[in-house]
Amino acid sequence: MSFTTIGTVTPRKDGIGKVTGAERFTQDITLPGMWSALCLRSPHPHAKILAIDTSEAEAMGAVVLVPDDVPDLFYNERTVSVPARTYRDRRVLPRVARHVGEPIAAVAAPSEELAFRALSALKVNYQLLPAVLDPVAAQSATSPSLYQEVFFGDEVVAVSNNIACQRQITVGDAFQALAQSDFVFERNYSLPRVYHHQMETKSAVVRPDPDGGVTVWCTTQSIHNVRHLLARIFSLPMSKVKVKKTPLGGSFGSSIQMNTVIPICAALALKAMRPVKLVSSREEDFYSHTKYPSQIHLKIGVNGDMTIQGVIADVLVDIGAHQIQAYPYLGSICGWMVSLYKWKNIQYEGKAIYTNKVPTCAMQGYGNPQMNFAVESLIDEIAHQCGFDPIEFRLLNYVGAGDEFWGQGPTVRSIIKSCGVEETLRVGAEWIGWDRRQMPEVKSGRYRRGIGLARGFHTSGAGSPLPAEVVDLSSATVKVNEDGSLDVITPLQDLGGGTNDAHAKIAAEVFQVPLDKVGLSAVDTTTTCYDVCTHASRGTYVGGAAVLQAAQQAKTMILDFAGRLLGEFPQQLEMVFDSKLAETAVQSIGSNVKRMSLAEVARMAMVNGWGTAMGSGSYRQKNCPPSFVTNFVEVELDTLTGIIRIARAVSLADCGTLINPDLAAGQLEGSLMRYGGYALSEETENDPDSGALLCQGFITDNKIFSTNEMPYIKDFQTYFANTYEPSGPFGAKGLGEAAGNSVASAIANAIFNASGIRFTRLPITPERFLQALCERKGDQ
Amino acid sequence: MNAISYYRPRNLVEALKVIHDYAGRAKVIAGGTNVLPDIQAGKVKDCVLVDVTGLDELSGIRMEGDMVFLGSLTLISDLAASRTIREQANVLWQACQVFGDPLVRNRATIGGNLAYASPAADTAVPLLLLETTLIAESLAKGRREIPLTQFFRGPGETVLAPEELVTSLFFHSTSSYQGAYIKFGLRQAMVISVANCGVLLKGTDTFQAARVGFGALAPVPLRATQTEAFLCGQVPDESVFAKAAAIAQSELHPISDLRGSREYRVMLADALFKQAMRKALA
Ligand SMILES: Cc1cc2nc3c(=O)[nH]c(=O)nc-3n(C[C@H](O)[C@H](O)[C@H](O)COP(=O)(O)OP(=O)(O)OC[C@H]3O[C@@H](n4cnc5c(N)ncnc54)[C@H](O)[C@@H]3O)c2cc1C
Repeated sequence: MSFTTIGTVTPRKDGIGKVTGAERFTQDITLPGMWSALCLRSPHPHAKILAIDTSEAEAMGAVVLVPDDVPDLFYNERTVSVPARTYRDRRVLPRVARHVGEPIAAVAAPSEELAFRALSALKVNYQLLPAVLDPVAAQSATSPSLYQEVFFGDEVVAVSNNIACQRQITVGDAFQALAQSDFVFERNYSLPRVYHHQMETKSAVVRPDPDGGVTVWCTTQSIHNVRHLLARIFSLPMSKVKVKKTPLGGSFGSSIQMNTVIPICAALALKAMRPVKLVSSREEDFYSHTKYPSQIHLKIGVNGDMTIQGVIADVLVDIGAHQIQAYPYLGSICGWMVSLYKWKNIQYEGKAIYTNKVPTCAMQGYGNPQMNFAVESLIDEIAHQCGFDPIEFRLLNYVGAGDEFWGQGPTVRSIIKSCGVEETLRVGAEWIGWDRRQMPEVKSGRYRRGIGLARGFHTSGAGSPLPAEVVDLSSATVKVNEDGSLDVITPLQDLGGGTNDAHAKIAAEVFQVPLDKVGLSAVDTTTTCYDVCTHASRGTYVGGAAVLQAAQQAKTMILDFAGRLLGEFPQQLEMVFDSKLAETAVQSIGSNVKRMSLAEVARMAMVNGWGTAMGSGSYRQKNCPPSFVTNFVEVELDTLTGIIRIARAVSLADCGTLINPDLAAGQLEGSLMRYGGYALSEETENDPDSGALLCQGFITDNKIFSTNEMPYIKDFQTYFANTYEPSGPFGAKGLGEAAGNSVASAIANAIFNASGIRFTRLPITPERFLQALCERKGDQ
Repeated sequence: MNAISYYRPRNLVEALKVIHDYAGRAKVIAGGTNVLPDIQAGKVKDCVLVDVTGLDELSGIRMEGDMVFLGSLTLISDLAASRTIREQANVLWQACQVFGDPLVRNRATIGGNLAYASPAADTAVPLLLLETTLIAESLAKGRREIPLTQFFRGPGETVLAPEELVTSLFFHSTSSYQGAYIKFGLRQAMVISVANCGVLLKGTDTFQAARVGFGALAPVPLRATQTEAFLCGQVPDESVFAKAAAIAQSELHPISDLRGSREYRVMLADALFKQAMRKALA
């Protein structure tokens, strides 16, 4: 298929604003009479708040918010599951602090300085409670507990042994299948807590409106989620909750929920009856959310003919102090396993455990990088042990075209229609020199190289033929202005990946107008229909499809108007870009016997009183097509210092039609860097005594990878498979999360190929690598 | 309540007076790249910040004969760009290239790096190898010289009295030496050393002089004097490096922290020392 705008490299619409500093993020919003707010955060991992003395702070002129001031309503910060499947365990300010850094009170004052003074004048009387910091010990009968009960849907459910929620999924009979398999392999994998490290820290500005409502600027991936929750918490009609779509300084999933500071800021603004701004410091942000640390026990049965017979998986997730969709996480992580290989028989059990730590939320992949590391490590090990060719073994067993895919747990399933797995494996093997790869035994010397491979995928959205336990719905409006330019109106946030540029390109393609003539409207929750969230790599696939639907409706209207003006059946007309006149024309199909410029059609429709050509509506995708990514990595190990360098890499993706080719390549490049850090460096552990973060919220000792850790340009290649997704807008699928899911697995497999050592725990720090090397020497 | 006030003296005399008047509470702030994070972490509170960055007389690189003089406020970025430092004190120049990132280098001062007394400080080992002398001034004690070898007392601790200001430092040119500084961090930019090592060598067939220093491998940055004594008169080869490395191990007392365990640091010392020797002789 050939396109005019889709697939071209274009400047980003928000690019100039961002590089010149003109873009206004939440933290840049300043309103007349606005006050500054700060949160008081618990220094204790677990403590009952007996009393807060606010008199001194109030005497200074500050407004103070304490637990008694906030509505007694329990909610989940994230609203992606249907309400009946949503656990709710938190209120705006808690009566019991459940992790170090949890906000327990807040102040607002005319200046930031006064707010700081007022904050330090608050006196809290805590009753210290024993802390639960280990997810295994948490389940013992003698362990202290975080909650007696929480809400599930509208019901109150008891919490026992700190088990927040659990799920069991059975397909066939895995126990029997494993008993009858030729070989059974079993391993325990451990994946760390890591911080999102998004650039913008979580912030909010809330203005109380004269009608009793609020206008909100905030760091979020979903303006409608924020609106739903604020309306509910503060008992406001949704029409009075106006959440503005505000540019986002990155997220990686960190703002997939309504951030903790948003309702605090709203409560303060409503109490102070003036606009209030609440900005998190980096240290506070570290204490807000983290990736789900998971322990995965995996048992796989295979036969000598390379066929997989079954899998048994146990997943233990340390979710910290609150549920932010731990329940769908347990379903999703199972789905990521199910959809990697044709297991035939599956026995899965997932458990989410409350601990007195920073709450966990989604982070690029929502369990997929964790599960991918376990499965792709074990699959690689099986291939090695059984003498199977690692590529052929994968090709024989992978879930691909025609197979069923689980896009977001067991209830979100659809049939795979486009699949580039084989192409990515063959092309990648060729580029990296797979056939010349040598086994670890022959390697020696200080620096050792090894090549590894892993494959993965991620869903595009959470759509399925039938409504599921996960909400997936989007919307868009496209209108044609009286000069033939377009306005695209979408509630979807652009997390920085260029999602909204993709939307503009889709509209430009439908109308054959230059991209420059497509505008992205500034919107809020009162001017857009519902969209669930920019998550699950659905921005292009679902949000883009909503734009496509709206653009096509608007186009139908334009053709209708043009038909009237030209005296032609609309079906006989098409839109083409006339490069000589540099304008878009509506003309007879295949000739310009009858012809008018798009601008003229739109203008005449106004002059004649016919109306504005526009399309608008909700859209639900009925599929959740996977985007496949394969990573081949060559590492270089320094056996003296333990430093592991990514020497060469190729990342190959099948994301259907490429809408923004340069930005898509950027997703793969950025993911090699981010997940290089996940594999080799990042970890935000807690002090087992104090419950505080060991890095204290400072970046000093929590380094993500920088460009210095990346291979040289000539040593790193990205590649896109030739695929077309029939259900996607112009054949496109998602990519953001798929890009990173198998990177760490490929690195670990390369480390094995270089050293003969299998790592089952991330990150593989220089120190852990050297330790393992020494232990192995000890064995010999 | 945490009360921090701020002074910005216009000249050295005024600075010394303010520090004297607030002895015990005065906190000198130069580039602030240590002081500000410490305020944020609550480690520095209730103090009088004395901002010395306006004292131009304390900044600059100057040569007199074969002596190099540095003002205590000289920025790491100035050292990193200095031809004098590159030619006369190459090992220090190497350390300044890998110090922080450009933003930090543009603010961080050499005096602040020493006075903070971090065992991992990047200029400490090179300056020890250069046999640097510091000049400290105060109203009470006047002007005194402190050899850098006697300056550090422990992590964050020096022999400076609370009212003393480091005003300059000096050392002999080592243009006839070959030197190398190896910084080891957990990534390649903007990191604090897990360990570091510097060497300064004279002589090609046999070592006429050898200076060896280690950072983040003991409570203070130190010179490995026994290792140095062993190296003198030896021929440069791998077996000598190995023997020297073994001696060095006995001179180090690393601790375990978030950046690395004791055992790991011991292994690193060995690797970094050999790497520094090879690099210096290359
Ligand atoms: C992001 C970041 C990266 C960093 N990277 C590195 C690195 O790679 N290597 C490294 O070694 N360090 C690093 N540091 C630490 C810091 O930058 C250095 O120690 C720097 O040299 C301190 O100098 P300063 O002028 O900023 O000192 P300040 O913060 O102003 O002061 C530091 C201490 O010295 C005292 N002091 C300052 N000047 C004098 C003086 N003239 N006389 C007496 N006392 C004085 C102060 O009272 C204070 O106790 C880093 C810091 C940050 C924030």
